Amino acid sequence: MEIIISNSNNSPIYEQLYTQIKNLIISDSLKEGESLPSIRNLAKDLKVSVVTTKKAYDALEAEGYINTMHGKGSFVAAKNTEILRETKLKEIEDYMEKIMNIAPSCNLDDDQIIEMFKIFIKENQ
Amino acid sequence: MNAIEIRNIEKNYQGFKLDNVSFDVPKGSIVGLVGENGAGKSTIINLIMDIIDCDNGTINVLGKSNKDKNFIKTKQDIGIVIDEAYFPEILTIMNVEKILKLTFENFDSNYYFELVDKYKLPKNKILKGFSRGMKMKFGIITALCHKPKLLILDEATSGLDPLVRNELLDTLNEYTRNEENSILMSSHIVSDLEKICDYIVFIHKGKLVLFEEKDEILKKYGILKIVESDLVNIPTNAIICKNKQSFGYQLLILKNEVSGSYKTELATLEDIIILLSMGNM
Amino acid sequence: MKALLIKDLYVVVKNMKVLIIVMLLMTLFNDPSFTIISAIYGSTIPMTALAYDERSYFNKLAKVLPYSVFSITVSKYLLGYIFLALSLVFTITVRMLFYGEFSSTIIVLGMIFGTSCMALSLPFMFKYGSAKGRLVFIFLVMLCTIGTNFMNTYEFGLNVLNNSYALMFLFVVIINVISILISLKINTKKSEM
Repeated sequence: MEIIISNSNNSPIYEQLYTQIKNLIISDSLKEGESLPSIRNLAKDLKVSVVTTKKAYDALEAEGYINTMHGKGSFVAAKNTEILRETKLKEIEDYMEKIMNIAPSCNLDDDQIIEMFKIFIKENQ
Repeated sequence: MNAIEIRNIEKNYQGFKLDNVSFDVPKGSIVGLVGENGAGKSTIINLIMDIIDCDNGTINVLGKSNKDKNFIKTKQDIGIVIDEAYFPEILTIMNVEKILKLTFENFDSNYYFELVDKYKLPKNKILKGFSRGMKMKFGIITALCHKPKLLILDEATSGLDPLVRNELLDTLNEYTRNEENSILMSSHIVSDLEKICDYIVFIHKGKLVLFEEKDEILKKYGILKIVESDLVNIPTNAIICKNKQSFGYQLLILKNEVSGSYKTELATLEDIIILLSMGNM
Repeated sequence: MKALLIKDLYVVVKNMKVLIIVMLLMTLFNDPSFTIISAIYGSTIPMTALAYDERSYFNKLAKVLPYSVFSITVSKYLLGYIFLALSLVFTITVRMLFYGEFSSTIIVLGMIFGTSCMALSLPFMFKYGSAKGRLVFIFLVMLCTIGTNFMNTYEFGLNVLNNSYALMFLFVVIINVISILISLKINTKKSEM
């Protein structure tokens, strides 16, 4: 599990933690049922506050990404529809990113890409 | 559960008053006690350990009042490092081990020597020849080896070079991996506290200015640099304090009270503490 | 209590070399008053230990460690008694070796002087620190010495002792108990910074 906390990052540590763990789950780097490090150990390893780490875990739990069993720790939850949707969205974003990466080599600017996409959608309907 | 509960303590000296201070050290957390020299940090620690009496207020340590007749039993579960107070300098690390073994019921000699080796301290040299860094390392070792539930450190990281300081902070970080263990550490070096603390207590001139979760503080406050003519556009309830500089104002603001058109800068804990103490002059 | 006593023993034993030389010199002189001085020297040991405590602010540390005021106070007295006894045993041994005899009266007198000086000076040490306490101690010793010369105490002491060992012993116990009680009271009182 790879998490990088940056102090110079403008977003609070809580958010960095939350987003990164969420992305790890959505991208399937963390598989269903896999156990997460304990709040305390993660906090100590990352050298961040325990309270903050707990908050991030609580938020992840509230949104159904992880389950916490008392005394056993936290595990990646089975993906529900909301999470699945997020997963697909993430996949789409990844493709889009690829497009954006290739586009400059064909001298396409943003507007041209959007135009291409509109034509593509029309043809497929 | 709180490792330390301080409620409305007051202490009057000539020319100094500790005024109605309350805060907690929640179990399992590291609490940093910040304040300028003479703000009352050591007084608070002396009051906690019952070396001096409060004029008012109560203090509970590890679930017991520090006025309890059996407070000496509670002290068995406390590890403490006091700035500039050491074992007699003619003793060696070997000597001190024997003394600590008789002092603490839970003293763990193996752990003691493990840490002594880890910090590469000489076992048979008298303490007199130790540098400040070595003395502080040794101080922390003597405070840790009876597996205390509460560690109290008074200026334990000041005057150390950055490498040693980091080593010590790592040791403290490891110590709180156990959720039963809590730390209260005072320092006037805010960056040390920013690194490892969960909560910050800021004392200024004997008054409690801030007792809050560290990340919450960092999230809440921001710094805004603006020219005087812009000052009217900032809602007054957002401004915690302002510092006039030669070319404009430096404001400590509540981030969520200011609209997005003003770009706030990230404030370090040190910035916040400095600006807060200016605001409380 | 044990911990503190062991600590002081370590501290003092490291200074022992000087102590032994001084005691040896004292006992080598074939004059009874040197035995008494040796005893008094033994009773200054708590002062040495206290001075080392103060130099590294151990007295401050001791208050936050799990030591009771009773152990902090009484351990210093015990230390004194131990070294007083040692110095007297030492005297006896040396005198037996060199002269083949010793005077038990002198030993008792040494004990009385030693414990009295300690009992009178330790409360001052606890109250004002070892530096000022040392002055009080020196003053007391001077007073004793002048007193002994005036009354030719050796003879005087002999007479008193021969008549009432028990009385002298009682005196020693009483001033020590009073001294310990005063010291306890001094150490219980919390410092105001």
